Amino acid sequence: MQILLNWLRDYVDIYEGVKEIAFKLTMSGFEVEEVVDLKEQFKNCKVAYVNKTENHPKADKLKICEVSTGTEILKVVCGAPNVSAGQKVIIALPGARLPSGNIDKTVIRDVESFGMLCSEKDLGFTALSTGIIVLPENISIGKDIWEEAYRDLDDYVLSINITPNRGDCLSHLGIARELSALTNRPLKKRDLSFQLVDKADFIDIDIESPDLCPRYTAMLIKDVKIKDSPDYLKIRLFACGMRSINNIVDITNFVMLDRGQPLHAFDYDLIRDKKIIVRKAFEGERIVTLDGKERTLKESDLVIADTGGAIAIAGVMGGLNSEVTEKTKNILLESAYFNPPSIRKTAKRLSLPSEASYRFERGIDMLGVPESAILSASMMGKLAEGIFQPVILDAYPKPYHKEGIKFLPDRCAMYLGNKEIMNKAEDRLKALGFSVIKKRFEWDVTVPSYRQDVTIEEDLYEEIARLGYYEEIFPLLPEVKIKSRKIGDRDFLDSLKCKIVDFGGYEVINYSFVTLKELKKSLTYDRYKDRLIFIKNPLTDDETVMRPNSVSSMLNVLELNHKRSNYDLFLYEIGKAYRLAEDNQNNKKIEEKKIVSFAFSGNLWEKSWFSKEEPYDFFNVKGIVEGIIEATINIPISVNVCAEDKYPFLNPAVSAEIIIDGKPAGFFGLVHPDVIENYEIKRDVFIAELDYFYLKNLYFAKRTYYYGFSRYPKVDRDITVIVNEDLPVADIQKIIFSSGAEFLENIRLVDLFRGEKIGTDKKSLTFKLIFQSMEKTLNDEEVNKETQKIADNLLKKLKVEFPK
Amino acid sequence: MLSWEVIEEIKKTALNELENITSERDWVELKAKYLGKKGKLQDLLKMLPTVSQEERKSLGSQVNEVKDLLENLFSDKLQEIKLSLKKQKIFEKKVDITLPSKRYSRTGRVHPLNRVTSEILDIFSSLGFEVEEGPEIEEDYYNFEALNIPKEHPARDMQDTFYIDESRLLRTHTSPVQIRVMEKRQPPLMVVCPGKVYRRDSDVTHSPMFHQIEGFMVDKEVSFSHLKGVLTEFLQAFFGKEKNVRFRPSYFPFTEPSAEVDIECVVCEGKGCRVCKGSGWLEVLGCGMIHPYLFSVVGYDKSVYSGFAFGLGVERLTMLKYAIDDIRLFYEGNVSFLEQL
Repeated sequence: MQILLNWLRDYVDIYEGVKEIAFKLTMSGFEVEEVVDLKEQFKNCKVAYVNKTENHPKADKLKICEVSTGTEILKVVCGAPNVSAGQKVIIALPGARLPSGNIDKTVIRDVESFGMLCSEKDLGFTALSTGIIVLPENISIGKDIWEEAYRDLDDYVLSINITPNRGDCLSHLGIARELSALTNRPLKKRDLSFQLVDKADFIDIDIESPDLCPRYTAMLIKDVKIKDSPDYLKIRLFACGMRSINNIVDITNFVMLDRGQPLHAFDYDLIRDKKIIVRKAFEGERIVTLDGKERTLKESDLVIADTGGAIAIAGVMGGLNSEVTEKTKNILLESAYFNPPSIRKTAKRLSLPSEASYRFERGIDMLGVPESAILSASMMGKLAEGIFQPVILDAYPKPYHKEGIKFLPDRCAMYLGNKEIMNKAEDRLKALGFSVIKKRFEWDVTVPSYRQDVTIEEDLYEEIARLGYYEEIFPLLPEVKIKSRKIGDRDFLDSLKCKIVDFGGYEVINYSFVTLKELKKSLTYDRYKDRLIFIKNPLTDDETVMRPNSVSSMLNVLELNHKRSNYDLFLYEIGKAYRLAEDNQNNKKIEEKKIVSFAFSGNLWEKSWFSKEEPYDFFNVKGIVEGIIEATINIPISVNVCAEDKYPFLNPAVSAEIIIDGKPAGFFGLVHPDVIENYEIKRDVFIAELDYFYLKNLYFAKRTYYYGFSRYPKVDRDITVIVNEDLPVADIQKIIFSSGAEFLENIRLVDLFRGEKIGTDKKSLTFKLIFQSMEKTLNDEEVNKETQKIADNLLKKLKVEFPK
Repeated sequence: MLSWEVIEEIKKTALNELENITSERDWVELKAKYLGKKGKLQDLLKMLPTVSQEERKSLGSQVNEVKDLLENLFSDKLQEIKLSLKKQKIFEKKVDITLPSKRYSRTGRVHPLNRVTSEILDIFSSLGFEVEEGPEIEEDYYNFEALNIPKEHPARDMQDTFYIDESRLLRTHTSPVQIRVMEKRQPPLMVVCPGKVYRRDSDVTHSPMFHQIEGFMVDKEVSFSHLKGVLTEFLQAFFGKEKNVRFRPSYFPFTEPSAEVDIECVVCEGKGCRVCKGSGWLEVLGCGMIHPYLFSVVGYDKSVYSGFAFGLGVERLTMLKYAIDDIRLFYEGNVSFLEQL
């Protein structure tokens, strides 16, 4: 909300500077986001005298004016038909920054122009232009425009962030009330008297929905002259971000900005049968609103109608069929209270937010409704020569009523943590317009009608505290019973992350939503298509879902990095996947599953002076994943071949399921070439995903014990076997361990060889067998005997060959 | 002719030659040359009988003195040669310590948002707060209704919401966790709830997904003073003891009284700059006393208990801490960004 400092002076005396006022407001709950010096906006706009004009040689409609600014004589090209020699005008010199644009020295059709002669539209005051401004004779040449021509520009605009609860402060009156309370200076009243009647001969009001419209007042203003508004009105509207249209519209806007009451002016002669009906719209009822658009209404919308149909959408926008135009003679002025949720619903559904609906939504002052009507009428009398009786027709089917609030001073003191404040509580409430009746242990507080936000005693606590800027409340640390911290999720999380970082992982955070396009691109759509959670109103037009896993997110990040020439990557994310799952009763429910995701591309390490590069491959990725898990939960992993179509985004020949403690816990592998070709990814990419909760449970469930070690030396033997290429190494290891060989403590694959020497489709494997006894030092004979057992078993079970 | 001068001459030459040798082999040769059985000193001794009786004694003892001297010096020299050889051998393997190190893996990084989250949780943890989490796909009830934001309430404009269906949405703040925790537990409670939240908004300072930390305390006689105490303690722990903190009245439907908290600008130290828009203050979090409506929703007796709650944006604090000017950098995953932090 834009608040003009001098406008506030209509209601309250102000002696402080604008900075001090901004501080007071900010610290009492009205955050002043910006203070604008209006004068600054019109820097380089000066009063000038037109010495002479001549026609532009190359354009019929343009004139070349020689103007004097008092210090220099300038040539300005002007297109306004009303410019002529002898006028005092406003020139915007090069450097001026006007609402209509920045002014520079230009050349217009080969003629240089050193500025612009301004119209009111150029200055931002009016919506339409009626030629350049011609100032009265007595204005001095060379002055800034705010010095004499538009003195009202010598003012400041405060941009205030009004919180949604304080609809009453969407007006100068509202802010002035606050300043009055903050400065202890009285609030000035606009002196207007009127009489309320419940019947009048000029119009009948029939309120069919008193819940949605508890009060509707109307006045008739006759014989108005629709014309331009005076300068001060134009400038006040301009300063508050509005444009002057004509005197009648400007007055309704002025009163809204002044008192917070939106008003509507109907052309009285267009209201059929002189009857106003406030009713719910008929389903499908149509109305053409002031913006020229036809709107289809619903039963939940409130309309103002006459006997012929709707003439306005209540509190949202007027209808074209009753619009005030230049021809209008008589005005029916509406000042009413509409139900906030109903207005909000309609404005939102029709996408028609307006200054009026914004205020109705936040609740206006029901008791102030007639005063706003009389203020408008009196202005229409003064500025539009309208004739009116100070009589307001007041249809008021649901009179305002508000329960008082019981206020417990002792509780307030406890709640705020300061007893001293209570000495000021009564004065502060009264300064804010509350009335207080003090009883022994409690006070009865009556809330002013414009403060719809105050409904409970805690609201009063805030009122009392905020007038002291919250500064009287001292910071105090609470005294609590100490207890030990519970070890939980975050301890596991930290420990896991610590290990991943040790292995070189960079953490990323991806958006939780992905588009269907992205899912399809990464071949993850098919796997999850029945389990997707759609976002009804995504940011873009693309269909968007909560991500069912992290594959497409990770591929996007890899792609972005590859585009930036970062190829050597080890990224991880601990985040959620979101899927529909079926519960026991076959109901679909939403599942948020934490997952640990990895992505690798490029080199594990690069070529350097001491080594050649080591690209990420299946086995070092396996080693990293294995290492992280072992380091975190101290359980070795094993791998399973995964079913070919289970992970369509993985290359089935180079991927595996991860088994921990006998159960599948995730997958890892090379990304499928069909996926990679959809991305600008320039290296092999490996991804892995682990079930976070499964790991976490193991982390807390698994206990580690010391089981002793041997004090005798280890002895080793190498054994080399030649087997078919498709025989998994794990099978051979299993046979070795099940050979019944005593003292076999560990085996290690130390060599893998393929070559013509041993035949195609064959591989030669050398295992180092490590023997150790808990009880004695082993001799060669014993070790050889056990090694032979292993060789025999391998030969028997796997038909391995031994090299000659 | 053996004379004092001859002996001195031999001594001088010997010393000179000894000075110049560097290897053990030269040393052996040189020692033989002077002190060996056929060495020069032996030759001198052999010449003794040729001099007169009276000179013989003094020249004899002079030769022996030189011999003793040389023997000592030769032995010292041998030590010296051996030491220098040893040293030389060691320095043959001298490395260029400025060669780049051998590293077979990079050092990883925790994402700055998560590092700051941990830091914040550590501070609150040390004050006695527990950590709880809640779902991101939330019911309208927990996200709005139970927090005193009914349908058609203007405060819903403060948060543009992503919807899943009629009753479910992506939570717009972490405040619903407050209701969920209060529903299942009884006071005293001191809880912080970190997590992702979502709003339909996207520009340099707004992201459709961002991170919040909600915190609250409920007990008997918890006051606004305690709220100020705890948050001042936190902010000074996070930003520095010397930073001023101020509380301004504000509005949230779920707190009453409500406040925004500002901290002295971390860039200009309160003088006024571009970051704080000239005010000298930075808005860092929102807070207030828990609205009694929430207590009625979870069945707490407001005449027994009171409490405070606060919510802070992790992105905002992280951007201030590391001078990051574009919120979108956090979610791009660009390692050029991540490796700087």
